[in-house]
Amino acid sequence: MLQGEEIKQLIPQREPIMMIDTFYGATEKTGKSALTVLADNVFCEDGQLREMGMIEHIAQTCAAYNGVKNKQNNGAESKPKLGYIGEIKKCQVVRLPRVGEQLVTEVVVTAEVMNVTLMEATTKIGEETVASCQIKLFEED
Amino acid sequence: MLKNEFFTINGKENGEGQVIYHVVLNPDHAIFKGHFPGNPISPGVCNIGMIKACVEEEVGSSLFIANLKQCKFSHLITPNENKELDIVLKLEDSDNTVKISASIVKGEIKFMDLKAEAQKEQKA
Repeated sequence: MLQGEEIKQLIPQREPIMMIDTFYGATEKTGKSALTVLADNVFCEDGQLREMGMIEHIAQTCAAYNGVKNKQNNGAESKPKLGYIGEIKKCQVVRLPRVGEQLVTEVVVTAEVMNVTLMEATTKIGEETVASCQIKLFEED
Repeated sequence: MLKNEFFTINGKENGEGQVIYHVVLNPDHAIFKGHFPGNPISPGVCNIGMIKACVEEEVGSSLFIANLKQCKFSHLITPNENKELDIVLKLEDSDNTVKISASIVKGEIKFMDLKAEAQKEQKA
């Protein structure tokens, strides 16, 4: 498990737009992360994390999965590659998380071709699903 | 949140079945320091946020995007080269919901397309 500053080994994003604070690990086709919503989060408004923050949290969970794979393929010292969202589909947001709540997101890879990864993501607070989507991520060489 | 900080609205044009918001990015915003250090690129979610803010302006209500059906990013937005952008909105505005079809463009370049359904937020 990686937390706080250690997350920077896996993803290229930096403050104030780091939207995961814990990465539980990756398997061959899955990754799992968490974010506790803090009041000073750049995507918080009136004590709630807005949709943009939830989607960025999902995208960075995918990026962290890619970060793990990158280290497996290119060595433990390799730096995280820049990546971008290519497409988001079927994104349902059930409700907005409140400050203090912890989002836990699991992503499952459904396809990988060259530098493109397709994933399905589910975000929960406790047992409650608060968001889900399909996401396509591009990674730079 | 993003409006007047990450970007500002610099005018709008009403067209046939659509409205175009002219926006200007703030390259000095803190988000560009983290996305990415030394290589500022507007995060895809901020592009979504700019569209949302323009729709909120247009319908006069804050919105909750419950269903982001599809969102396609075809060109990166860098705040120095793409500081001025046009946000094109086609909306179906009813009592409680807004159907949004939007794109971000400038001249010949299309940066992204979005289709979504949003709920109007009841605020005290």
